[in-house]
Amino acid sequence: MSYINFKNVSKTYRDRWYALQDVSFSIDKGEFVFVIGPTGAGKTTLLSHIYFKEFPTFGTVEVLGYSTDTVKKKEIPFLRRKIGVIFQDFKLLSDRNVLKNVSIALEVTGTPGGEAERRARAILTELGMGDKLYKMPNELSGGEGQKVAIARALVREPFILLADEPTGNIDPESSEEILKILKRVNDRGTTVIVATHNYGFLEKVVRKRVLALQAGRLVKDERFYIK
Amino acid sequence: MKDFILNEALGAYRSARGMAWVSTAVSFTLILIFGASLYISMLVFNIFVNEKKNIKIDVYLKEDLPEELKLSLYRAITRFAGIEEVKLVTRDEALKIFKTNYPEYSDLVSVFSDIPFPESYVVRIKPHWKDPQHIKHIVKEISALPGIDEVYAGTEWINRLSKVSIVFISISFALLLGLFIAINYVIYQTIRLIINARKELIEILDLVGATRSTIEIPYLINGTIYGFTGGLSAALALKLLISFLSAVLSYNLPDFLLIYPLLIIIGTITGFIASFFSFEEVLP
Repeated sequence: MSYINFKNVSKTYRDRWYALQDVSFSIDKGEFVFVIGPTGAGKTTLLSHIYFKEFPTFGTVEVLGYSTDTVKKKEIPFLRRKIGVIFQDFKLLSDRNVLKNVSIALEVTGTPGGEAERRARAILTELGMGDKLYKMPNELSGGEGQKVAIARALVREPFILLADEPTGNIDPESSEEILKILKRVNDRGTTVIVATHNYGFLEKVVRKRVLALQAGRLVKDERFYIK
Repeated sequence: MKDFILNEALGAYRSARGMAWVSTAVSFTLILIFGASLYISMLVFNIFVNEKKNIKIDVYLKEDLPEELKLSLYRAITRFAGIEEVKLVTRDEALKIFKTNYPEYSDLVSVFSDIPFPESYVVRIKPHWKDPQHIKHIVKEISALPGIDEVYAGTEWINRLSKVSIVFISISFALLLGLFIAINYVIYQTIRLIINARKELIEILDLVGATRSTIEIPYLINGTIYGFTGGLSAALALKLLISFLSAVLSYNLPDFLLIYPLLIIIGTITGFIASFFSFEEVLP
């Protein structure tokens, strides 16, 4: 079952510079996909199209039944509730503690406060952050900050998890741990897409797919599956 | 979600810090100025309406008119459009009225051998016919009748009052427009600052699937609070000011109760509109 479809997608800025050029691929349920390429290759732009932050200049993107051709602005939040996104800089709210940083993702979509906190507490405990629920983001290490960001992305049990350079700001040991978490998430059936230029990462995931971008073009699409 | 929206609205108030006070203070000052101007307009208009209500035409008759002529004058006057009542005031009645209205001068008339007041008709006009132009027309027509010495309507005073009232109302509404723009501008800038200070939060809310209204409502509440607080404090200040002036002038100034809710409503609506446009501009 195809979750994501890119059909001849091009994205230009200022009508000249191509961030993506005629990119086509589809991603199925439960795949673990690496998007690789040098800085400026279009990795972040590609991920931004998946959660409809960016729209293609040409072509169509279809995600979980929503199409960039037909989606209405007011429908986008409902797509985003099915997608978790994490970033290199974690994007945590500096004025709230760890628990609130996670529960906010549920509260703003209508889950009552008590229930939201219970679910946030459960996911944080699962990720090994149970003893840091009331810490503020500035009291956390890089690896811990990213775990909180992952918890926020996962708390609503998304169909797709997007990770944009998730280990860019953390030490190698924490990076390993983050990768293990992503694999665990994928093992439960969530489609995981990781944009990275850390090629060492690729070897640590056996069952994977690699999309390689160069100057906005998809130059490689390889599957490494053990049958 | 309700808890989240209220917490964010209060959080936004805290983020604004000094600007929140500036917004509220500017709203208060400008709404108070408008309220005072509106009060003066209503005061003048009130005097105008009361004077208009009491408007009458005094038709002074020449001396020693025969009864038939007086009767035919009575009939002629009652035939004009908009006449409610025509009443003859005899010389004795005129003297009585004078003595009642000016008791300090009652001795003065005793020096005359005869009553110094002429007979007159007091003409009252129907409410819907109290237009100054119509009254002027009736005065002209009555003056042309035989046996009439002088006709007095006092419409010039009413006309002047009407003009003053129009000027005050125009000033109030010009002020309303000006203050609307000024309050809008200040609240708009405050909300803009708050939104910029909380862009990180807005970005995350957008990312996790919060709807636009969930993101926007706290800022709308926030802007509306500035306008409401400004309007409420201006209404209270105006009430105190009127009471103070009544005490100082030893005159019971009328209290137009409609003004107070109007000021609060104007403040609230202005705050809402300003924050709405601010949000639309910062996050289209």
